[in-house]
This record gives sequence, structure tokens and C-alpha cells, in this order.
Amino acid sequence: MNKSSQAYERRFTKTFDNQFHKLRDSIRTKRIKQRVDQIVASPYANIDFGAGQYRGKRKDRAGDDRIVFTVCEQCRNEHHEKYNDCSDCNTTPNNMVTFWEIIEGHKYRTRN
Amino acid sequence: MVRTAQERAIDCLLTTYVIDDAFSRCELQSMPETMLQKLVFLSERSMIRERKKGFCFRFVKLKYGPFSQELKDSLGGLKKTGLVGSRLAPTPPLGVLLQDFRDVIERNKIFFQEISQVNDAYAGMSLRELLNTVYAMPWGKHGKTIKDLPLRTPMLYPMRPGNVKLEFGITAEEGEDLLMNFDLEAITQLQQAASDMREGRTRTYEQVFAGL
Repeated sequence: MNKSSQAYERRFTKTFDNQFHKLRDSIRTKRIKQRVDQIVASPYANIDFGAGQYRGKRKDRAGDDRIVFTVCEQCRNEHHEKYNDCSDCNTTPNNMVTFWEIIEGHKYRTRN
Repeated sequence: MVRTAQERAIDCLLTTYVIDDAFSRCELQSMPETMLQKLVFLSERSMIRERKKGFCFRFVKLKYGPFSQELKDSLGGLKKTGLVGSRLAPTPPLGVLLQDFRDVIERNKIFFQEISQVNDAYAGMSLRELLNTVYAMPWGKHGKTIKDLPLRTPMLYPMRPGNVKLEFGITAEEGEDLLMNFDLEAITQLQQAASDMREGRTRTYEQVFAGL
């Protein structure tokens, strides 16, 4: 099965869940859900890896917010396991997309 | 005037470089915060003299010479995010950060060379020796030294845009990537998420998005 036709699974850290449920802005929550759906539907679009402490994880924008996630298949291919360090790596399928964190990007806005 | 997000990102990157470079160049075991204040001051002064806009910390004269509250606050953040350890020693995550931003460092090498030159000259000194050297430096046009200045005299502040000949070059995306690494809240959440993944605390799509 090639990457584009493969169906992807998804899961979320408890931290992501907690962060999401603290958001009070329905526009932001809908936007984040929509971006999550898009990432799961096509996880190899807009490949943008994090840097520094985010090495090994990808990031994508949902408005001003950023979503941090990993794709198991890509993590293994790129040898990023040492950065992501998931306890269930041996049993998790390649087609799993894990959503780690929401970053409230408006704090960092450097664009005019 | 308050520093912009981009200026804060550059200040933190340059500060981490001062620390990393000083430790490796002079084989330091520890660095007192007072010493870091003087090294950053000397680097910023050197950049401003050449009209290069790198550091944007404001310095005033205090009891132990030039001091920046903004630098002190930034350093507190760097310690809490784990980029700088106890006694200001660089940590492995700082090594990763500087490696991942090597393109930015290479593109702006003139600023980093300035820091290395200052570290070469001053980072190997004892704190007392460094303080005495800084106190004796001339300041202003009236033959005064830094020691002669009254307390709270403003010493360095960001240049007016019209005076800048060369500016540290960083894209908006790079600035945001840096700020993510320097943001205690974001790093704390990242560490919690990593702990979730190590201990199997995951949620399903339905659990997260129920009610939307």
C-alpha cells in the first residue's frame, strides 16, 4: 500500500486532550479539529519538522496555533525513535498518527 | 520600548551561544551569572559600536557594573526549560538546539564571531579580574570609567532603526521555532506529552473531540 492510499489511525496524548479542553474559543477548537482531520487524511502534506527540543516531531498550523505530531512510519524511517521514545513503539503500526501537543502560537507571532 | 518576539528570540539564541562558546572555548566548569552579564554586555557593546543589531538587551550600571534585568529574566527561562543547567553549564538539549539552528548561525556568523572574540578575550578571566577590567573601561566623552558612573545610568539600549547598518537575519518561521524552544509553558507541555507516551496515557479521537 503506498503512502497516499493508506488509511491512517490517530491517537492523542492526555496532554493534548487537556490542552484542547481548556480552549474556550469555538473557532479555534473547530479549526484544530479540522487540521487534525486533514493531517490524518494526508499526513505527508506540508512536511515541517520541529527543531531543538522538538526534533523528531512535526508541526502544522491551525490558525495561530501549532499542532505537534508524529507519524510512526516516518519516525521509523527517519530514525527519530530516540527523540520520541514511545513505550509502545514495538506494537504500534506504521499508519498511526500521534498528536502530542497544541502550542498557542499567537504568543510568538513575529509576522507583521 | 518592549522587545518584539523576534528580538526576544534572537536575544535568547545569542545568550545561549555566549554560554556554549565560553564553556567550550575556556573549558569552564561553571559561570557566575555576574560573569554572563558582563560577557553579554561586552558583546552587545561591540555590536552596537559597529552598528550591528544583534542583542537588544537594555543595560544599566548597578553595583557590579553593567546589568540587564531582561537578560536575567531570559536566563531564568533558559534554566527552567533545561537548556542551561546549574552553574550555567550548557546541557545536551542546548547542543541539539544550536545544531538545529546552525543555518541561522552560519548566515549570521559575523554576530557569532563577535561573541567568540569577546569570549576569547574575557571568558577565561576570573570574575574579579573581569569585573575590574570592566570597571576600568572608559565610558562617555568626559574621561570617565564605568566605575565612575552613577548607579542606574543607562548604558546600552537598542539602536534606533536609522542607525542600524546590519541586522541579525532570521525568518518569521525560524523566530517562532526558537520561541517554542524558549517557552517554559510549551516545553513543560511537551515534557508532559513525552511522559504520556512513555506511560501509555493516550486518548481516542472520540474522547478528544466529543461534543464538537
